[in-house]
Amino acid sequence: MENLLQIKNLTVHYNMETSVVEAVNDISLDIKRGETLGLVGETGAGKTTTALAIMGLLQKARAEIISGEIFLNGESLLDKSAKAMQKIRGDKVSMIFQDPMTALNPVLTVGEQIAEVVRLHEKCSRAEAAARAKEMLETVGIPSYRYKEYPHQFSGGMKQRVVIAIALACSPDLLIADEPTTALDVTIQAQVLELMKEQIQKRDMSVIMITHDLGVVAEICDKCAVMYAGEIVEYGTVEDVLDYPTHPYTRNLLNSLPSIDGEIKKLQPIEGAVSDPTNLPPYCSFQNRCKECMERCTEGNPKLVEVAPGHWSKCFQHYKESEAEK
Amino acid sequence: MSKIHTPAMDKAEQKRQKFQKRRSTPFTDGWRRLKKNKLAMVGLVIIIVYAVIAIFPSLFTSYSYVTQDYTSLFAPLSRDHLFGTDNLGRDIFTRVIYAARASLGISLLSVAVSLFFGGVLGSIAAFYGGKADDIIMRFIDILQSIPGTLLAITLAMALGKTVVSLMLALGISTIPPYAKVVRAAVLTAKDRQFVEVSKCLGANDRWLITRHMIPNSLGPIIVQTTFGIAAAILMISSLSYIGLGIQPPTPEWGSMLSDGKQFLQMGTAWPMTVIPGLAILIVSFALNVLGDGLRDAFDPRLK
Repeated sequence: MENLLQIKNLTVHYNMETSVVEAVNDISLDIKRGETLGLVGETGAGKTTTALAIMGLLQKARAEIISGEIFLNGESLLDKSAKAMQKIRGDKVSMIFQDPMTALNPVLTVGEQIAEVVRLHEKCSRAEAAARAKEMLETVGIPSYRYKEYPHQFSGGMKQRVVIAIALACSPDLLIADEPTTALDVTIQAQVLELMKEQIQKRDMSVIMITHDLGVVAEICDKCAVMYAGEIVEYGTVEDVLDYPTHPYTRNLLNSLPSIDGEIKKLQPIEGAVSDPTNLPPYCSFQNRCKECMERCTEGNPKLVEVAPGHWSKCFQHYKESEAEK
Repeated sequence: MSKIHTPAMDKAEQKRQKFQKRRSTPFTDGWRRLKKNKLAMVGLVIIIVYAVIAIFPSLFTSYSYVTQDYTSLFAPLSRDHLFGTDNLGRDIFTRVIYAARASLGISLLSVAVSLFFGGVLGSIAAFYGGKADDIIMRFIDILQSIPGTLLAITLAMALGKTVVSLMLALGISTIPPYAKVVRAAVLTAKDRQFVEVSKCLGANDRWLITRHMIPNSLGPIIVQTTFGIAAAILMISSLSYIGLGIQPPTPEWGSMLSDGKQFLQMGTAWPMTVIPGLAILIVSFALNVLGDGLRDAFDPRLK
């Protein structure tokens, strides 16, 4: 399968008054057509910055793309003009936000807000756009007679359905979902995930699912990338990463989760806090929290190593093995 | 055993059906809150009566506002002349009514002028921020640092004594408060997430401003406009009082006051000043009360 989205060596910094936040450091990612990638990591790991870089919506005043390239369908997104990016956003690449309560405009009807995307991207009459919007409402499981209702007349889960309808209205190739279920309660989360899964399969879309929730990743993702301090520390299929984690951070992360079948014991939190993103060490940034840390961990920053076919991990532990193999 | 049925249930059911029918938008909600405010509704009724009088003055009087009747100068209040006549024998009631037309029309137009320019400048300043914001808002500050009345007088003198120049003079001198209100409202709307969402969907700047930011900032703008009309009516009367506003023979409350003041010592001429004075008082009171009510109805903190 061809690559829909390619990110090569992307580095993004936020230049603040007295410091520079190293938000994303030299990450590379490929997403194939129809593939769902889970982007997992703590708050501040650079997940949203990566997404905004793809959308071309980084704050111009602060953010600076130091290096890297982003290709969508082989076209470089970073070289596009602002006008060209406007055409791509919503049409080719679309985004779903975390909080449906604030993502909808309170003074427009939900129908108008769905029709808005259609009218922005396709030359069609208001009536045609409205018809499409009604169709989209039905698709996400909302009766079309509610077209003329306002966001505050909907519950949180229904609003998130509307947000999904808006994002899907122009059948984008790539959907970026920034924690789409975080603000919802558990039953509604399940429903919304089910809906997303169904639509993703039906439309053969590629999806970047940004989340803290490994359950969500296990539920709907094909691939999984774990981010830590702006770097991808582990990447592979969901089965590889969740069942056979190789990076110490991923292992610790999974240990800190309760398990349904295992006996209930005390959860193991990861000690310490994420390194200060304005002052990252020149070596492995997880070193200060890592229980398996070795001497050479402070000597340099390891590179991603392929530990198994299609399964990459960024740790010196794997160096020994691969060096031994040599 | 059947379920207990009480009259209260019927009542609640009826109410529920009524509620379901009506649309609920920030504006219908605001209107509902406004309806509960009695004083504001009194103001609204006065404004509606005033508007009807201003639009159809001939329905309310059979006299012409220019006809002079030298047989009855300074006539007292009577059935023929409800508010008496002035120093030229003209019917004061008729003149007060026709004066409403001029001040309503010009005040609306001048508010439209300042709302348009203030709105464009304010939303550009808020949307683009940075240098554009600095330049526009400093210009507004300069404009605001000149006393409004003086600026209006100067502009009215410079532009000539026509209705258009009066309208422009008033409009330009009152741009600053509109620009500031619109800027503040758009700044608030700008940070809301649906704007970000719309950006992610490929909306351009014009679309963001007209479809998302302005509709979400209409509340404070409507309030400012209501107070603005009251201020404009007062200003028109002030300018007319000193002879710069609406020119005779067209009647205007301010110029009627001014005409009347020289006859104040004659006891019988009191309607010449008191009646237009009361008219100004009532209309600006009504608009201010309505403005207060609107502000309360649209203020999200009071919801």
